[in-house]
Amino acid sequence: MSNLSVKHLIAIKDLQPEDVQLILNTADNFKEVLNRPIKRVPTLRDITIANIFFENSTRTRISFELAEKRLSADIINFSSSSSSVKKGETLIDTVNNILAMKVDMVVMRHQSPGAPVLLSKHIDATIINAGDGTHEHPTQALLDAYSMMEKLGEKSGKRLNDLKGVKVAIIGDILHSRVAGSNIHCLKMLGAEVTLCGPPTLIPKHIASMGVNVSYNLKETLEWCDVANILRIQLERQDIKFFPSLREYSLYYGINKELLNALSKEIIIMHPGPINRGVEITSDVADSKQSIILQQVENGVAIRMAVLYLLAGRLD
Amino acid sequence: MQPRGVFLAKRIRKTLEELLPGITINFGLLDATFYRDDFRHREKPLLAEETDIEFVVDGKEVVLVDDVFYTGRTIRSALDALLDFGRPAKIELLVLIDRRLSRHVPITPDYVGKTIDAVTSEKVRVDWDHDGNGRGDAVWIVPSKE
Repeated sequence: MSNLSVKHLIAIKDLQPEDVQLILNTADNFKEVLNRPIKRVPTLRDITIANIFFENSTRTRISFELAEKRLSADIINFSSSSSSVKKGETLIDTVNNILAMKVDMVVMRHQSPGAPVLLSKHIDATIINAGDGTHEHPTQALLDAYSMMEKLGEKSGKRLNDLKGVKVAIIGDILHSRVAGSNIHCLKMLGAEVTLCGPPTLIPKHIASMGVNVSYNLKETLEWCDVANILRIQLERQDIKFFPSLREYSLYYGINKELLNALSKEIIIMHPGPINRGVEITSDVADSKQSIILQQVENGVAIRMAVLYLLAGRLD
Repeated sequence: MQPRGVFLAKRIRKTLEELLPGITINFGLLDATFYRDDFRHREKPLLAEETDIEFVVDGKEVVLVDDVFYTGRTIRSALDALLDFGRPAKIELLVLIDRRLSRHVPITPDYVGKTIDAVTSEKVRVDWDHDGNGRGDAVWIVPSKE
């Protein structure tokens, strides 16, 4: 028996290493459930969960929704484009109105960093951050770590328990990425070495203070790493030009098959999606057998079930 | 049944295979944590153990094995869990110890090692010589800590 040290999942940096281990170990059990003929357990049948998405999402929203359904929770879905938010209702009012209908947990994606923290201070429900602006995306970091541990342990037939000594490169638009922030905290906690790589304009100044290496040379970084997590260029968050053209970006920082074939070992390729094929990653790499992009999506459901299960256990 | 029924189930399987050479007994581990009805009535969430059922349960005669049969709630959740794997021809229950005065649900075991009349302030502890506690095979009635 064990318990998370937090009541909400807002950021990886709020978690203790034991929390991360607890979530990953619980995900093992749910992964097994997802391989059963009936992929559903009745655990959360008395819980109602609201999925509140103020920003577009395919994977995360479907993954959370499926995780909730696999746990037999009741669900309401809400997206800002079709709601009264357009009429000027504030975030706290919107959520309080939803909670008045007896909702226990809120899964929220919001374009503003810090929105889930604000919410957790003003409302009486468990908050799970499904991405807040450029801040954090904790479940993505957990599923990324889980997928790495699973792939790296594949030869021994058992998922690794940590990432001690594993070299992970996070490549691309670090500046606008919430995935990078959460991943750095999570990977460091599990003992991995992290190098960030991308054009200087897309790597925040002083980021090395998080205990990561920074490189502007893609070839060197790929030669160094065991795992490359490739991030999307987030054009929707870029108000100014950070690089001359997408063509130039993909020339210097795009991952293609020739680059990978020239390496001395086979590295693991990851991407949190959605992929911009031909920009940060070419199709032949994304679809190659060293890519675990679809396993990441599969593991996402198990990770989110684990998070929901453990947090629901803390509800009054 | 995870976690404590596994020791007994392994021993029964070994004994049967020695007695009846050539027999095949499908063996699986079942954890019913996610099917329990007392989730959220506890201080902390229960952590699950491994479930590992490698064979098809459809049409099979399944014997659930557990060490101590107490309120019956674990077995109730185990029945739900097992039925999610398929439709067995028959399900029976084998327990080492039956605490017959403490039932919360109408379930009765088919095979019982020993029936014990222990009160709720007592706890029945089963030790196995290979469970890592080093205490050897024994059944104890001890005062409950709660």
